[in-house]
Amino acid sequence: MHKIALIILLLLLCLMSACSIKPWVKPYERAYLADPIMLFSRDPVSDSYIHHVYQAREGARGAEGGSGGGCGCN
Amino acid sequence: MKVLKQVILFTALLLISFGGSAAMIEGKAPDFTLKSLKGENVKLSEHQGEVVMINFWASWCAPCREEMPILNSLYKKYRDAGFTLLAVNVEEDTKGAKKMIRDLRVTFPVLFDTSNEVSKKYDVQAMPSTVLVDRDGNMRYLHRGYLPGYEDEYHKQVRELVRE
Amino acid sequence: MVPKVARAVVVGVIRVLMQIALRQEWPSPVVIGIVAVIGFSLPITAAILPEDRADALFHQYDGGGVTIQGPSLKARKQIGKSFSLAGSYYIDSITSASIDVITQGSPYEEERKEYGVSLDYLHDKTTISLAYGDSEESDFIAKSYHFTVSHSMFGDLTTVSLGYSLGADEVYENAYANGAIFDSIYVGDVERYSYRFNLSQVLTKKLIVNLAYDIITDESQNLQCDTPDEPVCSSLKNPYRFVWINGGYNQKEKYPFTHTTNAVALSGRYYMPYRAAMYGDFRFFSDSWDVVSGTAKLGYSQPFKLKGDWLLDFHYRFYTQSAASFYSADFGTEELRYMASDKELSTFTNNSFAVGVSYAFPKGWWKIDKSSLNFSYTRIYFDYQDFTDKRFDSPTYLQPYSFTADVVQLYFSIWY
Repeated sequence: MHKIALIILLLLLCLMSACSIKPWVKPYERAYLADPIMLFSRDPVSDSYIHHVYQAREGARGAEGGSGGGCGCN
Repeated sequence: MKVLKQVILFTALLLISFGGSAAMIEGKAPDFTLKSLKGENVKLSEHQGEVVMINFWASWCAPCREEMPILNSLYKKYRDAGFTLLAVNVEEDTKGAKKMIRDLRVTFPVLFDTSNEVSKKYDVQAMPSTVLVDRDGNMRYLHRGYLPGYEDEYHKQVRELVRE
Repeated sequence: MVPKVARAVVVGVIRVLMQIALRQEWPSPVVIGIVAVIGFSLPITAAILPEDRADALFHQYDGGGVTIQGPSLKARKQIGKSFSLAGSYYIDSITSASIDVITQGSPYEEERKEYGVSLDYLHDKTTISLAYGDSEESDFIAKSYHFTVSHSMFGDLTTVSLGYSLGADEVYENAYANGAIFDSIYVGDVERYSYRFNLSQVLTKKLIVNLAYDIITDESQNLQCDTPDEPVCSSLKNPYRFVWINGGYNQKEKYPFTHTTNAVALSGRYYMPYRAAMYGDFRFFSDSWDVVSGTAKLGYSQPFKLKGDWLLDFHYRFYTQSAASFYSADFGTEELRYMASDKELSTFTNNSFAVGVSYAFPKGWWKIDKSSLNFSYTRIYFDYQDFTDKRFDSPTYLQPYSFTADVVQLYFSIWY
């Protein structure tokens, strides 16, 4: 558990510009990512309904949905 | 489990940051030539002697859309005092941009940076980004992003630069 | 430099105060590290709140002898510069003559109502969300509380989010006479704790991936029966279900008092060389009852113009699970500590095919910027491997059970 957390920590440190890697997709290059068809959840009401349909009938639950992407504005 | 719990509970605290909307910047504003909506070439150095606000925007950017009417009134208010606004659109495909300009009925010059050369020159790090250039062609203020309320700073800074 | 130092000091002070408040041990170096790293992220720019929109959806599920339909409504509005408030209301009108109900009880009708409220707060690049949900039906009340922190960083290419949820359920058992409920017996409570982690990463201008991990624990509490230590009293089971033993559904199910589930999922969305998107989701699940499952989904979204903006969406979903350690379709004469014959815990697969159509109206109206009408149809094929059909008059009597379900969604959305 601690090992995994340490790896995540190192990754995050890198991302915090402690590394020399710079964001490779610029804010002005996000036209495709900002397109609604690229959203993980375009219609949250419909998505939560269909998740409920499956969850009520299957043994599995969780790890549904994603976030991030989009226009990355502000 | 306990580590996870702690991480989650403490992550809430992290989020105290002291960033503002505007930063003072220095240096000569890099010159560029871009095609405008009207079809003619517009060169930044031709506007030396005027206060220039360069706004980088895109039709897919919601805060950019919100900012447009504010930029429009800013342009109308100060243009006679030697102020101009160059709205640089950063999209490869200009269709969406042209539609937005029509819908919002903006009056300021719109330029198209389809190859993103100018965006790179100005190291645009947020959408939208606004750079204020003084009458001598020096960059003075930089705004990253747009939130309601930023217009007060825009007015203040334009007034300051126009009086120089 | 000064703001960074000041921030670190403030974070440190608050951390100390929380330590005292929570009476925890000092955090491990790892926690301090993660806190410091995220705390020092450059606050150059902020992120944005979810968009203002309202949706009215009509849903219908029909399959395996069960029909459920009703509305699902949600509205969201930004308040001021930093807050976004949303409210939702949902109804399930249920008519059930499922195989479980037919073989172990009698057909019934039920209505479940659920409402929810959530508040998002945006500061710079971080969003904090609080949400509350309340679901009620005649024999089950579920309340849930959710807290999520989401942080956008690395030039908005990476979004990390951590969430913590609490759930409190009240379980009842209805007693029926002449088809009507004459008593509701309180069985006990379920307490639920859940931790969620989400990492979303933009890989290229056209590709974004998301990694999600959830761990959820349910605990049976406050059991009201005469023998609260006996698994037959557990509130984690459906109180109306029996196990097949000694030639019939002769005994109530016996469940453990805790249930811990882990799920990890990887999803991606890819922008095609023309305007369209492909997406995939893969989830692996395992729990403390030995259920192991895999889910795979592949989809395609294609927009096109025809007197307006249309969107066509297709996807295929595959799900497979292996049975819980205490599941059996037939226990023979063997009495075990934990026993279940609920098909939800059996070995099965399902295959779903879905198609969706959306139409975005070309013009806004008054304060409405955009509106769309949407329809989707999903067909699900359930195939059980070790759950058998115990209906005497069925052509598949004593064979593995299977059924097909049709799911329809029709909804109208507005943005303002």
